[in-house]
Amino acid sequence: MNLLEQIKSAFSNVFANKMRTFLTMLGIIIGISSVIMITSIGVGIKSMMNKEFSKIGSNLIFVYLNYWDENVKDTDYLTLEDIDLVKTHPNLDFVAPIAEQNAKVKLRNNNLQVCNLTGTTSEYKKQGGMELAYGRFLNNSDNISGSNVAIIDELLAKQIFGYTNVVGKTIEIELEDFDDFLTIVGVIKSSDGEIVSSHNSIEVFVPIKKVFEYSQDDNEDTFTQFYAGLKDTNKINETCDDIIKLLSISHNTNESAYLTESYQNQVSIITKSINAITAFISFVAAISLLVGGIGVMNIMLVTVTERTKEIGIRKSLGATNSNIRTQFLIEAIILSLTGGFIGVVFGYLGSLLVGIIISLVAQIEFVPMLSAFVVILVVIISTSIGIIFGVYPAMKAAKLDPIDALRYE
Amino acid sequence: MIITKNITKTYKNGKIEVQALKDINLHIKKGEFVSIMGSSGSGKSTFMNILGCLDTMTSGTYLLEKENISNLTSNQLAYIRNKKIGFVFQSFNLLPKLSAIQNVELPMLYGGVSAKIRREKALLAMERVGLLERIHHKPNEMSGGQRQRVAIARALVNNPSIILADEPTGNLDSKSTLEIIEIFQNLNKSGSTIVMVTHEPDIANYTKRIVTFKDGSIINDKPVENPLKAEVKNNEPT
Repeated sequence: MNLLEQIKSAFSNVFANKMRTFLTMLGIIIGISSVIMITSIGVGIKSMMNKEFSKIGSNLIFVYLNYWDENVKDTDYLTLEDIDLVKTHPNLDFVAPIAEQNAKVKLRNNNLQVCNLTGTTSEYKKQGGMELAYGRFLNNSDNISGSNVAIIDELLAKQIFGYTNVVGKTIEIELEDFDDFLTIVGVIKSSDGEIVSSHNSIEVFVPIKKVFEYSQDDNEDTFTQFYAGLKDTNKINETCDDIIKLLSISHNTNESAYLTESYQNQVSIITKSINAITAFISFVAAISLLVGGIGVMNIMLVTVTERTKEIGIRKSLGATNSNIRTQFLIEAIILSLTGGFIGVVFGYLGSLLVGIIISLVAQIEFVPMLSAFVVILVVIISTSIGIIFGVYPAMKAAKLDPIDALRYE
Repeated sequence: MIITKNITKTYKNGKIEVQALKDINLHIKKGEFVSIMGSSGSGKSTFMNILGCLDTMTSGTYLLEKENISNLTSNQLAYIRNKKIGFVFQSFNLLPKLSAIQNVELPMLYGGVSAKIRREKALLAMERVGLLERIHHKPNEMSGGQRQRVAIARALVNNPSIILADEPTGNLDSKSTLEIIEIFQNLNKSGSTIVMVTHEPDIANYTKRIVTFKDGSIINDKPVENPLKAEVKNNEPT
């Protein structure tokens, strides 16, 4: 009796009793669909994270002064000379300093809106994550002269002027002691519907020298952080070390005065956490697979008892023990494998539903993803459940004495 | 064809040993039609089970077509059941979910015969028992006589050395009984060796030889001088 015929006959046996078969498979269906749902959502979140982070730039590193460290001295603060120095590193594409200053901007209705003045250079544009709607970003002459220019985003433009194309208009900035007027040279597209964003607060980009001018600090013309863009992201760790060495030597201080962070590392940390959470919840869900497997075994034992006479007849006609064993084993595998497939379908549909809910609630575009790896894993797991929980009933069937089995009523 | 030498069978029921068969010596030649008689508990069914390789003997030798069956493994016994023995049971023992033709194909399925040849041979067997028009019926859609004819078709489909029938007419009315006996007689005429267990002397008189068991031994073994000929007057199948 070849395998194909065994499988065909097993299918007709399994589906002869549809209600019972469905109830038996239910445990497997629930287990598999929960695992599929959780992993699809997990993979979806991971891919969404990657997409969001790649907008900002996976080649980006962030260098900052460790000002929580008691040993950090005033002379350790960063200067524009440091930027020029760091820029000489062969693996760096750009270096953009960041100096921040709180300010208020005057709106249409004369209300004041708190905003964050980000002083930087034209290099900042290269870090990605922003798109100009109108005008331009800072340019070289802004860097040098610290001219009275500003770049705002569409949202702020609307708040101030009621429309977005406001290049050439002037805004009024209110600082602690005085006011200043800045000419808008560019408008950035507002980023909404993104969970990772480099500008969560209202930001106004100005030349870094403008912020130096506004600053009330004693420690003049310094800042604490900058972005650097890598050419070769594989050398991320070496480059970070090099930057810290350069800075500490130039400031004649400890290497611990400066810290680096990379988006790549952050992404990998988050990805690892999501993986761990997904694996853990999947594991919990997989416990229901155990219950499902026991259900399969239970029903197979009942089936063997019910079909004792049939086993006797088959044996009297020349079925070997292994013929009988294979028959029941295949039936158990069909039960759990079919359950597995239905589980994949339900699980994926369920994850799509959850995806829609997440998208609506969190106002983000979220698509759950079913990976081929998970589907293959499910097939393997379902088959294993069929085998593990089907072996005992199948052995029991195969061992039946033909005469006893024939006499069974 | 069949030679048994000193076959004994002892059942252990707790501490009590029951000797179901004592030193059975029997020789059945090719082409014989033998009935085995005896009251219940006489050991005739046990003997049939041993002949059919469903049961093992406690001691003795059993030669089937010169092959010693005494010490075979369960797989070898399954092979012999499949190729050399055709069973016909009192309660038909058809698989209820399969159609008549599928039931007849079943032994060939375990014999590794290809689907095409299976169907051809099964149709031939169904023709021999006169049920060609019912091949797609399920057992519960047929009368007892028809079911038993399907069972006979199943028994002879692998062209076995011997057909073993255990009270094949026990569940049938007299008309169906005659039909079945007629089929057996026709099979025997065309060369099949048949051993039939029965407790009805009337039925035994249709066979060529009667072996009588009592208390686990053969007490009588004689040929039937003028076997009756089964003829169904009304040839309509019931």
